[in-house]
Order: sequence, then C-alpha cells, then structure tokens
Amino acid sequence: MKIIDAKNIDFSYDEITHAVKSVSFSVERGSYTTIIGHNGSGKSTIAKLLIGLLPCDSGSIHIDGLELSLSNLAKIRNKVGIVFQNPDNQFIGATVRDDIAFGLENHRIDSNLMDDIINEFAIKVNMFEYLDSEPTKLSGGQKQRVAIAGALAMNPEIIIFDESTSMLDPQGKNEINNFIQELHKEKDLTILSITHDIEEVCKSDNVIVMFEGKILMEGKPCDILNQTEKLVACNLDIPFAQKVVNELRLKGISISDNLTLESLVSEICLLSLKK
Amino acid sequence: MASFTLGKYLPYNSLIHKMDPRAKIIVMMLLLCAIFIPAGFIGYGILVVIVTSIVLVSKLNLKFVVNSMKPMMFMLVFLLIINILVIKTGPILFSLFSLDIYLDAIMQTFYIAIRLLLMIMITTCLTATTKPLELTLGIEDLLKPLKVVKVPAHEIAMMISIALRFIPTLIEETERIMKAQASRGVDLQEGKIKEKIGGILSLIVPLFVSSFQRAEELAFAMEARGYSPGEIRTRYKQLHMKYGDYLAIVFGVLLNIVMLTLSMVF
Repeated sequence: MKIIDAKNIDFSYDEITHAVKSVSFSVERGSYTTIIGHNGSGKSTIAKLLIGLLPCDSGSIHIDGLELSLSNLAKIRNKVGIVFQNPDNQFIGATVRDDIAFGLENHRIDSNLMDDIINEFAIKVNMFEYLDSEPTKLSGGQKQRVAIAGALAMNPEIIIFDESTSMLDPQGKNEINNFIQELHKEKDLTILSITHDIEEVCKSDNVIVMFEGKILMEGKPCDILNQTEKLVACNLDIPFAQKVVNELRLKGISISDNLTLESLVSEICLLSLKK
Repeated sequence: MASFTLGKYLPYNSLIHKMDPRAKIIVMMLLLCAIFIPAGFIGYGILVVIVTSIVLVSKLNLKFVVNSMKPMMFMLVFLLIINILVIKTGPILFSLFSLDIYLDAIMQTFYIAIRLLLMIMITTCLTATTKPLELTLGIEDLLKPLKVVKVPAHEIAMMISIALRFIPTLIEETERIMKAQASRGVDLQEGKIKEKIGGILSLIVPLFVSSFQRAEELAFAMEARGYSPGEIRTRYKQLHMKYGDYLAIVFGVLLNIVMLTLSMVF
C-alpha cells in the first residue's frame, strides 16, 4: 500500500533554478527508500515539498491518503517526522530534554505525560544520561540522535532523513546509519532517506536516482547499482563491493552481484576453495 | 571569548535559586523601584543591608558581584568631575586649586554610585540564580495579561530563548571565522583604524550570512515539528508559586512603602 504518492510535482526557487521537474514516485508503507543524487539534483527540495515546507508549483502529493494542502498540513506533519542535515540548526531547546519536548508542546501533549515520553525516546536513542545536557556539550552524532528522538516522540508513520549523516564524522555516520537500520527492522515505520552515501543505498529496499531535478532511475538497489556507467555519468560513486565485482568480471572471473563487502568476501573465499 | 559571562547562571543550591522566576522578576522590579526613591542615608543603608543579604543567601561571592562594577568606574569618575563643576550647593568641603568643592556634589555622586552598585547587585543576583529558560518562562507568564492589547508574549519569550540558545553557537562560529580570516592574512589586532574596520567587516559579513542561513534552517526545523506562532501549545516546564514567593513579593511592596515614607519624612 502506498503511503507517499507524488504525481508530477514541479518546483522552482526562482525563474532560473527549476529544482524539481515533473517528478512522480511512490513509497510503500513500511519500506526503506533512499533518494540519491549529486548536489543540486533536487533531492532535498523533494523532502521539503513532502512535508509542506515548500509549496509545489504544480502536481499533487498524497501522504497516507491525505492530499497535501494548507488545511491538511497539521495532520500531515503529525504523520511525517524529518531529521535535517545540520545538527546545530535543528536543536531548538536549551537542553536535550527541552528539545524533545518542543515537538510534544506543539502537538499539545499534556505536560504530565511528557516526562514519560521524553524518557522513553531518550532511552531509545541512548541519550538518557545526557537529558540535561546543553547542545554545546554534545557531539554531532549525539545531536542527530536527539533530533531523531524528537521526531520519533511524535509517533510518526514516516520519517525522512534529509542528508542527516553528511555533516558527521565516520563514527557518527555509522552510528546513525545503524540506528536507522534498527529502527526500520523493529517498527513498522516508513523510512525515506535522502543521501549522498552510496553504501547506505545498498541497505535500502528501493532506490530513486535523481539527476538535474528529474528521476533518472528507480528500482531495487541491486538493479540500480549494476548500471555503473549511468551512475558515474550523474556524478555518483559506486559502492566499493560493486567496483571489485566489476574489476573481477573484467578479468574474466564470473561472480554474482554483491552489494555488501561481507557477501563479496565469502563468495571470493568460496571461489578460491573451488580452485 | 570563552569567558563571556553576560548574566551567567551559577548553579548553586540556595533559597533564591529555588524561588519561582516570576516572583524573582517582580521582586527585582520592586527593589529597583525602591532604589530610585530618594530616602537619604537611612534608606540607602537599609537597601544595602537587604540587597547584600539577598546576595549572601544566594550563595554568590560578593567579590564576583562587586567586580562587575569595575567597568562603571570610568563613568563614575567622569560623573564626579561634572558634579564638582556643576553642583554649587551645600557647605564647601575644601578648595582644590581655587575650585570650591561642595558637599552636595560629592553626595550626589555617592548616591548615584550606590544606586548603580545596588542595581548591578540585584540584576546579577537574578540572572545568576535563574536558568535562562526559566527566566524566559517567567517573562512569558508575566507578559500574558498584555495579550489583551495584542502583545505577543509567547513569541517574545520564544525569541529570547532561541537567542540565548544560539549565543554559544554564534560565539563558536565567530571564532571559526576569525581563524579562517586570520589564515587569509586579516589582522584584527594590529594596524591602522581603516585596516581594523576592514578586518571587522570581514568578520561581520560572513557571520551575518551564516546566521541568516541558520535562521532559515531553524525555521524549517521548527515548522516541521509542528510549531506555528500564535497557535495554542502546551508547556513542558510548569511554574508553581509557593508561599515563600508570595511573601517575597509582599516584602518588596512593604519595602517600597517604607522607602516612600522615609523620603517624605526626610
């Protein structure tokens, strides 16, 4: 069942920058979808359009059957949580506790219930012992985890990660990526991740490749990542495992498509055993 | 820059720290009113004793409070000179290079110095014993009655709390830009005034640009999390007035009455 259904959406920032050009796509409930594309390909604009932060010039967006319009905006924002790129610029509260409470206050949750909700989600993102910490005392990864807790606390059906790991160090990046994976496995949450990170794409159910405001390709990661030339043509990298597979094939070794390093290593081991 | 201490909160555990921020703000206002009632030596004596005891009860270091007077010294000396030249009433104290110095001139300056000292002590006491967030909540609640005349109490409080939240972030940003510009040859410390102004501009312009970007992203983040100015929202931190808080306000009012009486008597 489709939870996000976008039809022919168009958006221009001004007369020159036509960021999104007649884009149509849908996302299945409970799936993990990634949108990849080079800088300025319109992927972040799509995130902002989906949550109504920017208005579409034309086309329609349906979230869980509701059409995105001014009158439905509050209902849709109840269903969609978003985590942005810059950890500092989305930390609104004075402490972790206040930041998680911010969304709850906006959704008019009774103040007596807030403590329990805040504690529950702080534990979930492993930030319980930092509840009274100020943002200056936290690392980028920790601030992103707080942002995730803030989004989760509102009990959304969809959560959008808008390049949430791009400003983090490798450790913070891994931490957040693993957390997204866990979240996807344990909850019936629809995840839409907008990313530069091609390795993250391998872990998703569905991939959308954007190029100059349009959808270039859409499909399962293994089908998309096979099309090396197309990916390189739109300034995208290909996963390391796929690069090795391509090189091995050039040398005449028959090997199946491997999206993860682990499966590639085990296949190479098996091949050498057969020899 | 790290030692930037504008109204710094000091996390001690004292009676004043535990007071309701609204009561603290009201009492501060009442004390400030009392300071400006000209109640002579006795009046100021009473106020000095009261304010000093408040500072001591807050467990603040008196030296920390008095030290904040230092930047005022230049102004006070300047004021003393003007007073000596202008005020020619009361008995002559002594003559300095054929210039008569009157008692009133000295007294006026002394009163102003005492007023300033007391004001600084009171405001420091408020900001040092109240968390910035609690202070904004207090301001919001106190401004609420003004909603009738369309004063956006909640929005003002939200603006103050965001400004407070972003002070450390902007200081960090300023330091980063300073380093970036220094590595490109901008010298903010030395050089002619013209060069210094150029240097400061090279700091302010990028800081403004990045602040606007931050503001836009923050607005997106707030909107995405359901914030809409003017809409009804619940509040996580609830304030509760206790008996002590009411008592403090009553005490503040009484003090003003005493001061007014004293000013009429003398």
